[in-house]
Amino acid sequence: MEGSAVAWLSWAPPPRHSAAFMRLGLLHRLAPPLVLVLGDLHIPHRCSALPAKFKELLVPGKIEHILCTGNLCTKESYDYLRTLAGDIHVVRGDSESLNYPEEKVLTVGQFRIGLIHGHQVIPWGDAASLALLQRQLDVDILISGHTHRFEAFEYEKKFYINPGSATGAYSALERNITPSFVLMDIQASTVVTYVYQLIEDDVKVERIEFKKY
Amino acid sequence: MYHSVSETSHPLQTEEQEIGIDPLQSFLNKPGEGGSSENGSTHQTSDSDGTFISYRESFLMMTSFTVFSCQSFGWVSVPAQGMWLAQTAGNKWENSACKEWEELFVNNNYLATIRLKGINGQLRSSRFRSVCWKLFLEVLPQDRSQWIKTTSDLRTSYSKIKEIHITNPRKAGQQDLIINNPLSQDEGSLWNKFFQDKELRAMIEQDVTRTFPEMQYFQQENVRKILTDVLFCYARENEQLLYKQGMHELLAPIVFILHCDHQAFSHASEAAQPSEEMKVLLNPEYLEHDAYAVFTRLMKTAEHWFSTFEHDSQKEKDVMVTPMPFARPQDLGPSIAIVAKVNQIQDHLLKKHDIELYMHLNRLEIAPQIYGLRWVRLLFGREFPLQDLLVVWDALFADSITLNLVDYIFVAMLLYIRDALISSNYQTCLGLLMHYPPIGDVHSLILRALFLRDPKRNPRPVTHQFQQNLDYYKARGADLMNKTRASAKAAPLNINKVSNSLLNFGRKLIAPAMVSGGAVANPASGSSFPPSSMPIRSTAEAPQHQQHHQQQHHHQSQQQRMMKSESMPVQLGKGQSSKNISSSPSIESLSGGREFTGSPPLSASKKDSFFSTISRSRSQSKTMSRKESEEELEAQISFLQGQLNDLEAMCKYCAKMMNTHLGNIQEVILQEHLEKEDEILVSLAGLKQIKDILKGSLRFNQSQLEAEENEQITIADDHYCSNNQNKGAGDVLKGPVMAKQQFTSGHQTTTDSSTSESKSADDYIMVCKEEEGSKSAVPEPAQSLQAHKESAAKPEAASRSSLIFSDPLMGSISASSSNLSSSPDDDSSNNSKDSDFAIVSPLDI
Repeated sequence: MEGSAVAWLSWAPPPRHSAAFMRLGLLHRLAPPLVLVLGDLHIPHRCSALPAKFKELLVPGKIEHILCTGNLCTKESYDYLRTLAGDIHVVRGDSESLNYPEEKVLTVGQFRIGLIHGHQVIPWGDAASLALLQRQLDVDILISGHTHRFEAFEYEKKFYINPGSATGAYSALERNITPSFVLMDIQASTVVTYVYQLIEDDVKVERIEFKKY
Repeated sequence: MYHSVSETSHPLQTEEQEIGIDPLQSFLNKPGEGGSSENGSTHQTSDSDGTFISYRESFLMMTSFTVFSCQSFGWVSVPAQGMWLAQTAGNKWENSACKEWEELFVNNNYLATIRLKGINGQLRSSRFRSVCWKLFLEVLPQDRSQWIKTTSDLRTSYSKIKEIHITNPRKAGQQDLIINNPLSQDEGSLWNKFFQDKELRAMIEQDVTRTFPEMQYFQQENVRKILTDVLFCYARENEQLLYKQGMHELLAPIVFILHCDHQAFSHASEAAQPSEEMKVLLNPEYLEHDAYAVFTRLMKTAEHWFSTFEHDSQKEKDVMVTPMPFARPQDLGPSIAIVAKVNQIQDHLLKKHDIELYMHLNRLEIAPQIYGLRWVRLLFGREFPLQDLLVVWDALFADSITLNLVDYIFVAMLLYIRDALISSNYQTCLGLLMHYPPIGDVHSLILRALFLRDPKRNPRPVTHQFQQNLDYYKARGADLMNKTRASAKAAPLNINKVSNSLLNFGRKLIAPAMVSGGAVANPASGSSFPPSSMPIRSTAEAPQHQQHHQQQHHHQSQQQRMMKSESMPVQLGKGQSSKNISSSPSIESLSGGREFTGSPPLSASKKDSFFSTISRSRSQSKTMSRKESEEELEAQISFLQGQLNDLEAMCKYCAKMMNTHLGNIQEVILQEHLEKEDEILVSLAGLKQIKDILKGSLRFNQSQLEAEENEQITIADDHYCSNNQNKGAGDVLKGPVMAKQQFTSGHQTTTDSSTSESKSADDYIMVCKEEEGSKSAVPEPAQSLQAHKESAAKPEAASRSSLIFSDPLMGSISASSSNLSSSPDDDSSNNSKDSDFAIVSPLDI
């Protein structure tokens, strides 16, 4: 049976053209490109690990891209994220051990997305200051972190996301932080944002929609 | 969907028109007998009644002339041509289409009519083939008044199925976010289901992208989506079976047929008003729905061929608790339905109809599942070009919904290539079965299958046989075997590679021999190719004879080639042997030579093993393939041997010349009494060593390379020796190596020699000689040995002393060697003696 099994598998000719491989990209189009946004893990300095409930949710095979706002702090955290998705983008936080770029601009679908840690934007988390950066980078969505507080808002027809701290690590200003991360489901001209928050050991999910103008 | 092509721009236009129109005309003249024009024999170009027929027909006609031309013609061009034809003669089509429709379906006993047409291959040209298939497969009821209703029912049910199974998580409505979010692992979550589906889809997609890669139609995105969706829905509806590789190959022709009929219909209906039934049945919008309906019905029969569950194994286990003691491996495996089926076909049907072929396949241990799995599962989808496949399917479906004609077509296919199979070895057989040769007339195969099933009611068909050069299939078979083996085991692959390259090398060597050698008639050659290659069947026809003649001729020429290559080395061998006799020292030089050029024979043996692995386990079958390969091998070996002998002769000559010249130089130097005479003598000794190596009297091996310093001392032994003594020294030098082996392997012989209490040196060398003698099986008189030894021992001491004085660098070694220098006279110390020659052994003892 061994031999026959091999013969059976090998009957079909492999796709001949590279175009055929490109058509496999169809799969990705069928699948919604889910983008995970998280940051400020501060492992191991302020927290030991991601909350177990979050780890349960984050399984490989669902997420296409990961955008990280920085402060992964160690390579181990980075490696963990690599297990979840192949495409991962990190910017440098203020207490980083590895060297990442200060800011990044990516394009997912029709959206230009700017990624920055946020300690450079003063005052921290200020909408007007972020808008300045948004214009500078010319992006539709600006993702920043550092404040460890989840935020997602529209400001002057642009979308701003702060995923908070995925581990719930304390920030410079606050001690009680709710662990949170964000999942973006990017369709043609809309972004559906799912916010996962760990409130009293229960995962709460919120849904926010943003349309491109 | 298609690009319309203007009449002038298309490069193939005229050609297509020519070939495309002719068959239609013949079809129009004799409506309903399109099958008769299959062979394209009627070319009635004068008839200008060039009306539109389904372009599929014209295309199929075209490709039935050139069987492999599928790829070369752009698929796109054909519909364009069809459109052009449709515009010119739409009305005529309408008439003929209606006529055909009436012919086929407006009849009291229409089902029997279309069944007959299907079996006779007359649906090849039909524009309503898909409708016929639906009828055959009972997708449409026999009652015509029910057709529209049934069709619409089936279509709505598919729409529902699709709605259920193809999920879009975003259109979920207002479900609880906790349950329905992208990362949810809840069973009820649409997102979770979506991700599970994604895996299945990926699997299907992978196969769909390589469905009929040579056809443009299946490269289109929307067609692929249809295929994927249908397969996906089927998989979700049949959770037990899910999706299995190969289903896409069953679905693809169905989709293709539906598409063709739709296209033909839609082009025509622009010009005229077809009946309501036709409109509904051939609505292109419902291609996917109809394909699903036909496919599911087909799968009802075919599904157990795809299932890997052991359906009946439980029952069988109850009946027979222990497996048969001498069962073949294919019988021992789990009783999967498909395996059982193909085994049953080969073991019963084939045995019944052609015992010889059955025996041959059994002898080669070609299990039917190797090729038959694919044949049956895909309903021969990979074995014929598409247009032929459709004819086969016409017959299969028309015959009965249980598809029991499959078994007989299976056997008919085997019988078609039987002569080629029987005259082939394992490799070529595999190639033939896995890459089924193109068949001229598929219909004959169907007739044959019918005859096999029921000889009384069906006429005996004309026997067709596959006749072609088998080299291609041999090569494919080799590929297959390599692939299989590579996946089975990683290790043998390397050997294969090596031996393959060696084989090529050997061929290159033989090639010139082939050219130079004259034709050699070989009476024995006939016997090695048994008459099994001759047709046994009495019905064999004239061309067949010719073919066999050709084949035999081919074989003969092969034989001759082998003989030619063989003839040369034989001569060489003779010359060599005489040389060997003339140059007296014989045994040493021979064995030394063999050692020295050890690699070529080794490679030959490797090759041997390669061939034996190829025909592995088929050893009990004395197939001629084995003989063939062996003969070829022998030829190669003898040729290589010849080359080797040549080289040896050359070495001998070089050594001889070197010897004389060196002797001259030495004489002069000794007379001159130069200042640094010793150094010159040492280097002379080195040259002599090289000479000895060339001659073969000195063994060349790694240990010598490693222990170069020590070697130099040993060589200094004989730099005063004459030619005669040299040989003796050679013996001595040889001896220690043997002794070393002895010491390391076991002390048996040495202890024997020490107990014998004779003179150590003699004794010692005697041992070695015995060893040598036993190996070469040539006894040598002891006296000569004695002489050799004495002559060897004396110059040894002399040379050593000269070394000690001359070379200050050798101080440390000379110390030890001075110790040892006493040893030849020291009778008691066997061990030290040994250490003198072979350096390592004190530790060993």
